[in-house]
Amino acid sequence: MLKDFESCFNCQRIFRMVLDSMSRPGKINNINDFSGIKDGYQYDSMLKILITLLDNEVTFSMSAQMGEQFKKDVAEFTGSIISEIQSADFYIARGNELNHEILRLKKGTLQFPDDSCTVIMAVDSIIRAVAEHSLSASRLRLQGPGIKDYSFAAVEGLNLQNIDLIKQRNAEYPLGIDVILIDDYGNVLCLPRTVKIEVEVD
Amino acid sequence: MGYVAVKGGLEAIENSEKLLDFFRLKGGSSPVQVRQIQEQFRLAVDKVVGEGSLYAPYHAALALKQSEGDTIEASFILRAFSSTISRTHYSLPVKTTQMRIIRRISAAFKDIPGGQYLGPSRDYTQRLLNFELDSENKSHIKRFLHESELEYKKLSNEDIGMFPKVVDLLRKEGLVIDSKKQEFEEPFDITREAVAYPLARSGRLQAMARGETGGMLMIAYTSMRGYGDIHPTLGELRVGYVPVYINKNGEEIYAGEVLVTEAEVIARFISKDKTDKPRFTIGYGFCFGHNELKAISMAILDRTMQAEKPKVPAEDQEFVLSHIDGIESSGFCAHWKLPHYITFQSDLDRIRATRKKRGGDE
Amino acid sequence: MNDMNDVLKRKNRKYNFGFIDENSKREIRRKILKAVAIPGYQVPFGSRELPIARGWGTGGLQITLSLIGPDDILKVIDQGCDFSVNAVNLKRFIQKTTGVEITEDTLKATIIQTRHRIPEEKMGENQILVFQVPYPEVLRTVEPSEAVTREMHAEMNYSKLWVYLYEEIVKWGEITIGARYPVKVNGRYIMDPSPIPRWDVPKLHMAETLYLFGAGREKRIYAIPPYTRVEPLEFDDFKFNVESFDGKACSLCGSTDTFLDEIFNSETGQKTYICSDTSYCSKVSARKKVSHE
Repeated sequence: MLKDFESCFNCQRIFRMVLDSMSRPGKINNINDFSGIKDGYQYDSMLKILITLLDNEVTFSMSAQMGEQFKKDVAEFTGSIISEIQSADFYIARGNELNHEILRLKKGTLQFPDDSCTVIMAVDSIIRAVAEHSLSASRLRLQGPGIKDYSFAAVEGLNLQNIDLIKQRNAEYPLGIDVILIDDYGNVLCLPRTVKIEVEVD
Repeated sequence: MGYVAVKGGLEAIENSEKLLDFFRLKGGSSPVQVRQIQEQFRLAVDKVVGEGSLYAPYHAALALKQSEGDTIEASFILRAFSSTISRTHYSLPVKTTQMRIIRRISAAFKDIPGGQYLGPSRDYTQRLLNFELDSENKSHIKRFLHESELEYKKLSNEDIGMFPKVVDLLRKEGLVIDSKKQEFEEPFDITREAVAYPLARSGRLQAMARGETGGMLMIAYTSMRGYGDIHPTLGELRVGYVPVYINKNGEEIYAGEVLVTEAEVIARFISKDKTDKPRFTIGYGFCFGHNELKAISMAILDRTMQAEKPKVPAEDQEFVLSHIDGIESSGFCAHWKLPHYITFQSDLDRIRATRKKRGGDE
Repeated sequence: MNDMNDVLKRKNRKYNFGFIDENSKREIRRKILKAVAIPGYQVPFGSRELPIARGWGTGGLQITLSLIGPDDILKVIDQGCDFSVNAVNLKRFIQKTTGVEITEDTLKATIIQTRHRIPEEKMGENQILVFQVPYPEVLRTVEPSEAVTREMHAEMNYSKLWVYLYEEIVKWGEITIGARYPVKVNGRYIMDPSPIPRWDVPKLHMAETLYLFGAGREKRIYAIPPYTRVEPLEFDDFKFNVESFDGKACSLCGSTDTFLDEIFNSETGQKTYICSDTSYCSKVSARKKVSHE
């Protein structure tokens, strides 16, 4: 089923891009260069990230909106185990649906804040934005470790209330969840728990 | 300049490797065959398969040859080798009641069902240097094997058979703590999960099964000698071959057998409260190969680490488990040979500054 | 004998790119992401067995091997030097299992693995610096138990460490910590920056480069993302200060703004100084030579 997705080297390069985006919130990397997994597959970019990060040692949970078939595919391609939402290491969802489940995701303990969920969220598009630009999309103004002063990103297909839920879940640092956004064009944007997010709507 | 920094680099490393071979071979004796090590340095090989945490006697023997007999170095080589092999299956729990025994003793009871088998043991040999071994040759070996063949033939047969476990006799009477509950939990895997304390018993046992014999003996001895005696009695010590099965699509498949040593110590009894009837506690030891000191030390440490409030080093999980791994401790001990110019330069800066403060000259 | 055939068959085996298997890399990668998301917090990981001894850089090595790809350019230093035996040995191993390009030029490398130094030349955004860490737990000096130090970090209870620093001043009139000077990261976690000299500590603050720390024997990974606040612990009346090389210069390149190694000349018995960062030292020397000609 897997096309010629060469796991060793592609995963390495995709990981470096995710790492770069996680280290520099607001920095967008594109993973579209790498061979696809299945021709015309709806969640091609998403699946590439999942194959890079998931395996049989971790668990995942998925919002129903993603479809039963995709859930099966992820389990098959990564070997990862489907689990209850409260204990999932990874949570997969679409950004446009209002998702109260975010408040149930594992946020770690004070002793082990790393034992927390990583959210991988599909959105329509992620565009680099600058402060002055006025765009139709909602603009995220980001601040925190990894960012010199401020950074900006415009995201379409992301329900803004989800941002509020993420902020709620991350209110008690170092507890929290870390979010990787991926759009249909293979653009990756990360929102680690340390990032302060302000939504600017024109 | 007159000064060359200590940086021989590549050339020095390569020459050093060559010198190792030179020192190994310069005496000019005939080469030691790996098979000889595997068969005649049996206990060294067993130590290495245990501490290297890979049941591969041939590879262990090869590693012993490569390391000129240094068991820690050989275990290290074996462990690194195991990193390159992917873990394709997990075995099903091994049942030591199915052990094909070569040795089995109990210090708790004179008569045990199935009887005691001294087996191959050095316990009652007189430690007199045997000069006859110096002139041992092939015809001696041939004659010896011929004479003893009939007598020892049953070792490879099923004549000795399988035995119930001594501790199970006490368990039936309700005299020992029941630890059945733990047996059905998925075991902790210290090679995959990061260790945090308190560590599950399965993780503690795994750490000890991979532990370095000398290190474990030393800590167990502190308990035996006086720092928190658990009052152990060796319920049973058995050495033999156990069958290993793997699960493939719901089917049990026989994968082979491994030589192991198992020790169970019966230790000081406890009760939950004043009305509860007291029960003995059990310490369990199990390791690859024939290595009795390690299995007994492990059983004692398993029991000492069950202490609710550790009072002595052997009862402190973190103290015991963070210091018994031979690969870790030897690696770190050896690392002091690496240059520490920077940290030392920094220390020099501090001592000079402090001396200056005290009015001394620099 | 089956054993033997097996061995012969495997004799010409090819190791996986970067030695460790893909699933192990995946685990290390997941832990690196968490480390970046919680700056200064030590993420436990299932450290793998490598053919390099524990305590000789296996933590840094596992990070490097999980990061590295065919396009990377690697530099490895020990005590600031590209050619010391340990640096050479690690490079030899990484190159054998990846075939990547090796460089001595700090600015050309995409990944630098280091023991005890941060290069003198300022590293940029497209580079990653990987530190080898012997003692990841900054509180170990004041508390031997892992279970207790974990609790102290959880509660941000760092009073024991502050008391330790205070007592140092009372006893010696100075904080006597040479290398491994404790720092506070992003205002939350106190962290061991690995045995770098105090000289290098200011380079951790608001840097352009991602810093990753790996402790193989102690099985911990931690990180300082770029542009993150990193403050050495200090008192208002006892400020942190770096090693002093006042009035001293490198006897090879003449630099007066680098961390210097103190050398005893065996012939004259005199003390001289040379740069600990050898690659930078030869760059400066070459530049001077050109300008002389």
